[in-house]
Amino acid sequence: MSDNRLQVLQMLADGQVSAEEADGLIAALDRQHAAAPAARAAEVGTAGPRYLRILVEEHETGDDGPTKVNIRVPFQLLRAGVRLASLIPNGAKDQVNEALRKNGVPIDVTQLKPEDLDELVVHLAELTIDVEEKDTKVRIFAE
Amino acid sequence: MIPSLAVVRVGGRRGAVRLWLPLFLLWPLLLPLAVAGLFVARVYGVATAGALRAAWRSASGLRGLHVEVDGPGAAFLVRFI
Repeated sequence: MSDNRLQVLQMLADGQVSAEEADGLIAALDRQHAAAPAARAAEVGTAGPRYLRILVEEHETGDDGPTKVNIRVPFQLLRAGVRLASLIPNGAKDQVNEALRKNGVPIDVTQLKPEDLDELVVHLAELTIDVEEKDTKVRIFAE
Repeated sequence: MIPSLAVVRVGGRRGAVRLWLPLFLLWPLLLPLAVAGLFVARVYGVATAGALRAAWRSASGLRGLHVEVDGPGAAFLVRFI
């Protein structure tokens, strides 16, 4: 439980606010908490990185030179993709849950909320992965 | 804004075909498919407004997508502008 929420409950216990006022304050805190990922998502959309970049380079393997993969995915596309999850009909969500459980992934897609998914994409903007092996180099980063 | 052009390059290092596809001509052709999709969405209980918004966002998100694979035998590139 957050400090702010505890403070509101303490104020209610001390009799400083009525139950209705405390309810209103907690609802305001919830709204603020729900708006935070969206605000950060908007920040990423404007000022932060705009693309997820994936670079794969396989070093010299033959006469024709190395193989290179260069992928640049706009974060806007990722965000649109994750929002599609919220459009899955309820009947289909049960089937998806069942299929995920069978494959050892105990995720309940009915609990996925657009705000959570926005937050996921926001944190993806801070991701940097560098893998360098003997003959292959992989870099994943936001730009 | 949805992308208006796609650049596709297919071929090897010794020679490649580069195509500029005018997507702004393609989008109106996809409109009947979108209407049919909305009808199907409604049948399956998906909110049509949400489906429309998601489709527009997905199409808009394509702008800037760049996929390039350059191998010894073949090379491929697709870029949405």
